[in-house]
Amino acid sequence: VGRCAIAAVVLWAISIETGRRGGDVYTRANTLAKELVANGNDQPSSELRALLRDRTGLILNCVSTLAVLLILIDMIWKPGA
Amino acid sequence: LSVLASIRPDSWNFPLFLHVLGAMVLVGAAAVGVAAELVAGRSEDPARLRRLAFRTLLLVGVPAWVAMRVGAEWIHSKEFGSSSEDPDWVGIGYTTSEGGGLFLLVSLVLSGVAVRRGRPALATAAGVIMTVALVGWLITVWAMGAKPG
Repeated sequence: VGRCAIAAVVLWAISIETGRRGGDVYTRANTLAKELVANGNDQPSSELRALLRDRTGLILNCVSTLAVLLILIDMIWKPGA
Repeated sequence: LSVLASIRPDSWNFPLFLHVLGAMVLVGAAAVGVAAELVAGRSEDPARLRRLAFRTLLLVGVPAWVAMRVGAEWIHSKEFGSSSEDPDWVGIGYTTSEGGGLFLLVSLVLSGVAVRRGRPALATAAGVIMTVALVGWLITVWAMGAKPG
């Protein structure tokens, strides 16, 4: 198995895991928003805003996207092959 | 033979990258557009989802289609030159990219009118048309990988 194939599998694993963790942040925001509405609170919520602007979620999603882009570059240029 | 087939000149890499990246983003934008258009009717804020679909198709789908198409023509000119005989998989690519581009355009117009004038039926029609294009593009993804013919 070539180095570029191993790199692609590693990048794929990074992409999946960071995407999953990044998505968790927005799933929590979704759940909180539904709870607020169910409790009759339709006003702006600082807690909800903080979740939607969470830097960790944004960074994890960016890393996931970047990993997919790197898989494409790796598969086309095949460094080390 | 497969090893030989996987070797290509370095000058082909960037056009291929542009083509594949454009196609990946295009399929993603089409999937978001289809889901948003078809789910909008059952959501609490359908207008918002229809706006999302329209903006995704306009701001992501159209540039991605252009990148995919430019990349395709560029890599085709390098790989096949002025040869008049294209393999089947290239023919499938031409058919679905140009047909899908037309579907994208029609869907975009319907989606834009639906958003501006608040006509849910047009948004659903846009979603159905994009679904057909999306299915065609997914078949093309298989054709580009399996290269039939």
